[in-house]
Amino acid sequence: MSPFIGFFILLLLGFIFGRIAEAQHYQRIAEREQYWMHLPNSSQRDLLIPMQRIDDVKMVCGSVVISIDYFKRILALLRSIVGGPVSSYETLIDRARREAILRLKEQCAGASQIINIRVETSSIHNAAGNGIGSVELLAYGTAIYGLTSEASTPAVTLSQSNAA
Amino acid sequence: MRFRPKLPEHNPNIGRQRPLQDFLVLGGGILLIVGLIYLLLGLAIDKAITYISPEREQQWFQGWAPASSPSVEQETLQSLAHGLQKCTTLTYPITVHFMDSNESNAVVFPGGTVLIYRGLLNTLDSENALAFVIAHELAHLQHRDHLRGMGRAVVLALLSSLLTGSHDTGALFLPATELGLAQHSQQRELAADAAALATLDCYYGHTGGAEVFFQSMLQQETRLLPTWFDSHPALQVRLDALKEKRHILGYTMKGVTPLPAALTTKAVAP
Repeated sequence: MSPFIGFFILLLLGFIFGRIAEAQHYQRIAEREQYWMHLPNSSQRDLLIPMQRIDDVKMVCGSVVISIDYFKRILALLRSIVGGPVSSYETLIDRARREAILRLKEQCAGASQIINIRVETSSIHNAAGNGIGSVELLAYGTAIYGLTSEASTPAVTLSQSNAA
Repeated sequence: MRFRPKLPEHNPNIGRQRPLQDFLVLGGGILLIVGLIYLLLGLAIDKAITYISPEREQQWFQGWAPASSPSVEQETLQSLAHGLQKCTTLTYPITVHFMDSNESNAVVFPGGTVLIYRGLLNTLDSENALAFVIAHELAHLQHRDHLRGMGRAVVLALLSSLLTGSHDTGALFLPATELGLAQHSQQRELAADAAALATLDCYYGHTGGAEVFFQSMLQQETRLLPTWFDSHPALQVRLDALKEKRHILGYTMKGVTPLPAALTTKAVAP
């Protein structure tokens, strides 16, 4: 009898709090993505925007670990029996990827662009032997500081901050 | 071409999100299928049990029950059980073990072993009441409920581990399967009660004292949860069933025989 009650309490808590946490996280992500739009990033090894002058080059990395709630974990378990897209994990990965890139950008606030970005995923699924179901995303890249050759880019403000 | 930063308008990386609907459809469907398999295998077990002779059963399960040291109480209980056995169709020898513990319970093991705890004797006021409890356990042996229960438990464990690939996550499906097990077991308990009543009538010539155990348990009972998940039916249901059975079959009630002196002498130190 007791596993029955415990199971449903966990399920309910997971559903409610998982939902709240996800909605709040998505809202934060959307706001910050809007804010960081002026810092372009690319996975190429070449410059995305031509530079007039390069002052500094740094390696930056952003990593994040996010766990899934109990409800979604059970849902994924059920899905794994019959097969099909595990949509309950999709938001987890999506959030983690965007959050990792955002943290990457937050590390190099004065840069004019980030190039050569790589994103790696590792699952911390069975870390404690009880199937925590969390995911780690690590994003790393090269931040380029300096003055871009395009006058209209926000790099002007960056060069000002560099001069100060 | 100049680079223009822009956020995507919509996110195709996230599929359709209908978690609650998914959960209900998937969970319900899987439980239904598992329940069906469980039901069918349960029926198959009931069928298979008829092919296991009592002798073979005893051969298999002889060493299962915990042993106890011989005592006066044990001898008294053993002779009472022997007397009651004559009123049943059980052919193999029944062994009664007396357990010196405060637990108010009686347990039956495959292979014909009945355990009687001292705590049980303290709640009963007559030999008839004790005889009813023993007869109830004998009825389980006669109906072979222990084999059915064991078979179902094996099927359950098998299903849950097959389904989830590990024994840990089997707990996930426990609630639903427990329900099926409990419902089945409640019916078996009522059948055992009825058979015990018949045994009592055959042994004493009346059925007085049969309900004493249930009544004493009813007084101690504090239940907060509904009874669907219990292996035993609610006590009031069992009392009502006894009364009805008595009425239908015309069993009489007369004065009860007191407990034999050997069973009332000492109590367990707290």
